[in-house]
Amino acid sequence: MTPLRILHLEDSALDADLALTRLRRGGVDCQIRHVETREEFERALRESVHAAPGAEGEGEGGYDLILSDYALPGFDGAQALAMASEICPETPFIFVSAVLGEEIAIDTLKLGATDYVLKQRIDRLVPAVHRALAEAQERRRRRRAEEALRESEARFRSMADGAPVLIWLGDGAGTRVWFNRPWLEFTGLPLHEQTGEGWLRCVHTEDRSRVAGAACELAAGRPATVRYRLRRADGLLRWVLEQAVPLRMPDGAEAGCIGSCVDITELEEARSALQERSLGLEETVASRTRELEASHERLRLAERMAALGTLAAGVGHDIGNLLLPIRARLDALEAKGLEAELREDVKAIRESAGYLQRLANGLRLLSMDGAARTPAGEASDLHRWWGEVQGLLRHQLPRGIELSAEIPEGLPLVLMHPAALTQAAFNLVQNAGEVLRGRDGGRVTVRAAAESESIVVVSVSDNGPGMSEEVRRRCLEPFFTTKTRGISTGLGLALVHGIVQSAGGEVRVESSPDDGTTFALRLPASRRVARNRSPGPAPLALVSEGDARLGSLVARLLRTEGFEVVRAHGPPEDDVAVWVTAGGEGVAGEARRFVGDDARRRVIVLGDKPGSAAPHPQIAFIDGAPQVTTIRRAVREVAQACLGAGAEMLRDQTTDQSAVR
Amino acid sequence: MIKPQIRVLCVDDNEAIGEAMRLKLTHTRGFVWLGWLPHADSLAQEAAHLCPDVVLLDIDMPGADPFAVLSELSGRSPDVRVVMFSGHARRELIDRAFEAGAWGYLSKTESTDTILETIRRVAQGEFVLGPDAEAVLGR
Repeated sequence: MTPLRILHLEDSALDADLALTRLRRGGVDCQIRHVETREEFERALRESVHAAPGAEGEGEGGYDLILSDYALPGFDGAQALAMASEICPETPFIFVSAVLGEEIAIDTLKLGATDYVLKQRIDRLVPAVHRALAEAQERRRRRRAEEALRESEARFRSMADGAPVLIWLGDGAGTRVWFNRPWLEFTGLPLHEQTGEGWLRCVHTEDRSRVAGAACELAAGRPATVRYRLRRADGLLRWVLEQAVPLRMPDGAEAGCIGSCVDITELEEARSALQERSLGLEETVASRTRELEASHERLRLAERMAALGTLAAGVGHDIGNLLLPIRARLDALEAKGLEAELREDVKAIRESAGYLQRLANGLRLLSMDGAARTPAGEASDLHRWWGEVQGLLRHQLPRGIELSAEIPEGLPLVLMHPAALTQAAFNLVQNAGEVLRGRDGGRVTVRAAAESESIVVVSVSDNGPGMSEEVRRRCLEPFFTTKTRGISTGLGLALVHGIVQSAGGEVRVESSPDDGTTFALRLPASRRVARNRSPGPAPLALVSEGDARLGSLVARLLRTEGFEVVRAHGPPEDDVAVWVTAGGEGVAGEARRFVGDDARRRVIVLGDKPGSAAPHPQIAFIDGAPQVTTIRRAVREVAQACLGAGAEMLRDQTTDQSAVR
Repeated sequence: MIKPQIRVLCVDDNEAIGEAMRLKLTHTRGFVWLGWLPHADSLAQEAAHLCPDVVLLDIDMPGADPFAVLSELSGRSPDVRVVMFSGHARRELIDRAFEAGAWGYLSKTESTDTILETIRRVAQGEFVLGPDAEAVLGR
């Protein structure tokens, strides 16, 4: 340890020695420079400062302690103190004097002297020096600590300013007192506008409560993480993620808090996009599930129909077969003349047999494949069809139930056989009638309308009580019925479904409680539009076929198509429109003569070939053994050509075909 | 040629059907019940022997193919008129029946009155399709 360096201003050499002796004897290892005049004192001070610039009063060159007499010739202690305070303010200054009165002593202390020792009581010098040195050391230590702190803060701030995150510092109450440069640049506001509550202006109002919540956590001494929107200098709100921790001194004392934020907007956007996509995905999955369920429902129905088909064919066949003997025996019983009571029994049995018959019929129809049920290439003119079937359908309704129709003319033809359409409508109207039985003001409405170019909807609605969702969903299933067995076969609507499906259409059931039920048959439409059959008497057809069986068949088919039929030998009279004849020699010539130039006349030659005769569009030859279906087709073509509506339809059809080609 | 009494023969493997027709026809004026055959094997011979006006011929039967028997019968006894009497009406069956020479096609599910009416009309020389067969063919 280096000896203590002491500057001693004293005009008496004896007193200076005395002090030195006293110090050394007191164990103070020291080197004393003894000056006597103001000039020497000032020089010594300045030399010491010069020798250790920036470190006055400490280290080499500087003095550790100044001792000074108070009463000096031409100089006094007060001036010396002032000089020392100016040149080396940190160096402790102790007066050692004989004349120091109490008042002066207090004044010197006020002026900055560290202590004073009376020469009469020089034994106090050593403790006074020790105390002064200890105090000086403490002051130096404090100053160094303050400097270190300032330096550390400066280092932290320069580091924080260079960091790529937003950083702030808060005091013990959580109030923000400092923001780093990235924060200030991000928000575009100067520091003084942000300290305290100022920065909250940059936070989205909706997020302020969250931010306040995080501040409470911090104030309670816990770390806090919060997401909020911070307004950027360009006015855009950016999502930031802030993490803040309370700061503590090594001794555990609270020392404010520090927080840092990163811009997570891109992250948030990606996350919400992901969330949206996942919602979209859920929606897609849900809708796909609904589709699958619906398709599964259809499949289930189709499977049930298919499985049923095989069974139905057999069962329907057998029931039908067994019913014949039952009915025959009932007939036989009745023919014997029964008592009234027995007649009632027979009647009851007959009703049950009737139910079984309907069941068998339904089963047989269900078992038929689509082609057998609805012959291909058939089309129905709805307006005309309605004219033919409305009587039959009205007859199916219980008394008091009204049947109305909205079936406009000029709808496209539906690609479904009229018989099949009748069967479907029959079942639906009958069903509606059952639903409405006993209800006042019951009404069944049959409507037809074109939904699009390719679809015509025929619907049967009732104003009955409607169905539950369960019933609505299942009502097309075979054997599903809400009525008592023995009254309903549960096949009617399944049959409708089957018929419509065979024709390439679809049945939709709409029903709501109190609003009745509508069965909508969406049927494929022809591009042809129905036209009215020209009014007037039925045209005449002559059948000159020698074979009774064949002639009878042809006559029957012609009558069905609306002709009046005469069976006689040809050639025909002038009023005949169609001539059906057996082939043979000269028939081709007779046919040509009959047709002449009348575009409406037609001839069908059965069991013969045109031979050498040139083909004529109005003369058809049916070659080989005639079949019911081929003859029927020929007769229908002739009918379409001869009868008003048919003529139109045929022309349109030809146009269609050429258009397709 | 209209005969005052229509002679009817029934061919069906189901005895109940035969019995039903027997009951019905024996109790109805204008018909003569000739009997019932359980299969078509011997129909041509029986027909030649019994001279029926109308034969009710089932389609689904064990033994000889009813259509082949029908063809043979049509050639051998053109005066015998056969009505196919089946549980199911199908277009191709109706065509085959007509081709083989049948005079009618009737479903067993028709009412007994319809069956008798069909027999009458066929006997009078008319080709008849029962309502079921008509429905299958269309109008």
